[in-house]
Amino acid sequence: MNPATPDNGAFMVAGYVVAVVVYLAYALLLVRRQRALNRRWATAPRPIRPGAPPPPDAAA
Amino acid sequence: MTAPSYATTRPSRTIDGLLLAGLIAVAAAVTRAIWFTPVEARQGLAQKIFYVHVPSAFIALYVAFALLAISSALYLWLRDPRLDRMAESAAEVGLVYMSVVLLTGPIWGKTVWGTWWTWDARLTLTLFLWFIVLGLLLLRQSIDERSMRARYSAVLGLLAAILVPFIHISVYLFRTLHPRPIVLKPSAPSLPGTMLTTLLLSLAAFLLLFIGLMRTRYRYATDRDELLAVEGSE
Repeated sequence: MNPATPDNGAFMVAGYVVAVVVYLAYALLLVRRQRALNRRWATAPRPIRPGAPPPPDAAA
Repeated sequence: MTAPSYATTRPSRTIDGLLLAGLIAVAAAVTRAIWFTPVEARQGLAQKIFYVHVPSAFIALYVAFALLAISSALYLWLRDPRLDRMAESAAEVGLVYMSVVLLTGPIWGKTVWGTWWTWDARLTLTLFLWFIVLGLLLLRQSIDERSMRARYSAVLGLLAAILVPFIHISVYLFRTLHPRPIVLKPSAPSLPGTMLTTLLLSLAAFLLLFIGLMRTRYRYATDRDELLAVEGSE
């Protein structure tokens, strides 16, 4: 490296760490939100679809 | 006797393939930027923040917030809820990109300007835009009625996007520490070939990540709205 070049590698590392943490945290947040929504779907009341067979517990 | 009920809609996958591809592409772009791109002689290693800062800013301003403005304007015209979901997703993902810009900028600025922050036009307008988009998302949380929420946030989304051209030309209109564009300018990019290649690859990687995040966020919004309709909340 050129001797006149400043030694500021720590700033580069800090910049990349901050960016990676923000993007990864948001991606994980989206995945967790979708999982939570899917769990809500599992217990949600569901409308009848015309022509579909009745569910197994319909007789009960 | 009440009718039996059963599922009509299957919720989306939790992990999107494009999102994974975007994360892998960004990891590859970061690897190239850190280990396979020359060090800028005057600024040192900190200059490599450029390869995260600039693509994030470009995508936030010219892709995410452009999408926010277009979706908002079209929503006000067509009143299609899909456009509202698109605007909502673009605002949120754009805010994440803009947050990276506002966090990495000062880290780079400290080494080359000697200060973390300065209240010049480019930085201040960017911070204002960040607050407006944050306000848009908070506004959405506070309004229950769907059409009113969509209408108000569409107006705010359009107003936010008006700041984008001002942010772009602010470095020409005002005296500022922030450098002028070295790629998005009328003449040829003033960047050595290797650095320009790394920048373009980073831009492509962050764009792919943006598409993956947008698709995941939009699907979430669609599933949420369908669930709310099924539950009878809206």
